[in-house]
Amino acid sequence: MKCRVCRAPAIIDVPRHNANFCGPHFLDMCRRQVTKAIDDFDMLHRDDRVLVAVSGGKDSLAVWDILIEMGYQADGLYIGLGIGEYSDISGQYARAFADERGLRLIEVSLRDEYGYDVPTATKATRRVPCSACGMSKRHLYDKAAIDGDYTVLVTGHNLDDEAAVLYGNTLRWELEYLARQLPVLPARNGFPKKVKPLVRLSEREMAAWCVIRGIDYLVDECPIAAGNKHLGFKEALNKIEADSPGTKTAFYLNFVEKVAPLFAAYALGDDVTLHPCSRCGSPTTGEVCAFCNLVEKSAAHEPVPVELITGKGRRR
Amino acid sequence: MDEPAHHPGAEPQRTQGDQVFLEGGHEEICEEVVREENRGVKVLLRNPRRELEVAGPRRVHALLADLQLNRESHLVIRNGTLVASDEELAADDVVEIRPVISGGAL
Repeated sequence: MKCRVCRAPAIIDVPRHNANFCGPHFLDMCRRQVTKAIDDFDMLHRDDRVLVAVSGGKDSLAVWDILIEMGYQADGLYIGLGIGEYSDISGQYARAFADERGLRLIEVSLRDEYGYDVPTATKATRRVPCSACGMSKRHLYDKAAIDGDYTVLVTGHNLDDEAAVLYGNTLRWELEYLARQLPVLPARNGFPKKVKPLVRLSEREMAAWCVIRGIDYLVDECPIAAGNKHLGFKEALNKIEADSPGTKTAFYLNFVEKVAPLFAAYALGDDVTLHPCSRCGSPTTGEVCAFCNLVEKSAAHEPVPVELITGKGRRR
Repeated sequence: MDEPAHHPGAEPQRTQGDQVFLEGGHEEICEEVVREENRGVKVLLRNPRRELEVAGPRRVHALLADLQLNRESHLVIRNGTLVASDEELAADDVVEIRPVISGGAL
């Protein structure tokens, strides 16, 4: 295999582009895709103060790396979720990345600052683990962006993430969610602008970016995410993609261009009256926001070790 | 991972990692690919971490097919460098097959 651009030996094939690339030209392809996403969807401007949600995984470190390389002012935000050794190691990767590049990494610990962790919240609220985790992260990302006067919150959602969510929402015709599944959510009602610069790049391509750039990241899967529906959707789409390269790209990007506008009227929030949560001040439809309710239940619960959630330490 | 003990003249030994595959329902595949210690391509896998050896030389796409791994959700890495799908792995190569799929709260 030879690089499509320079005919040097290729190190990676990208079937959806029917192309092979050497390392430098693969990185160039990734940069072009991010630039196109930023420009096409009006994600970022040069004077933006950017906050990147960083998990220590490949996508968040890659998008931070790309934005810094492109010259954006971007700080990182890491949330310690308290998922045992997994969280300890993910934090180490995030800190090492920031330290080596002289970048600012803001850290928030659920246990230290809110009195709970994700395993405990899972048990206390009887939610599936990813639900309690996602709610916590979304609230704290929003809060950090608003409190820190950042103009844009960046997340590392990639093409596979978006295609899998779209697949799940389509299977159930979740019109409200479909209407809001866009690469950019504008700032509104006390929420920050949120953007996803990696939507034109696959999960495999982001892992390849990290390998080529020498970025160490947490490869292992979250122990309590194993077996969730989202992973099943990704697997299903990748089976289709293997037989028909480009399917994920067409599925997601054609949705954004051609279908999402048809669902705009179903978007939640535009006609909803929000007011400050009586406890934390975040915008909410009720008196107390969902996050504060989660904190109240979880912080009052006896700490739950992650092994009880993963099943390894479950009592029989 | 510790090297498993090998006794000269004995039957080819299986690594501890191979047992994971056997439990995972890939017995026939393992029967084909397992070779005597130190005479094949050493393959490191994750989630869970395990190690096995396959007959070399072997092309990357054939190795992934042998192991029933989707090329779209894995990278093959040798000495810290990505290896293209048509490249041939030599009998003494050590490669990592790295899953790239992550999932959880969005």
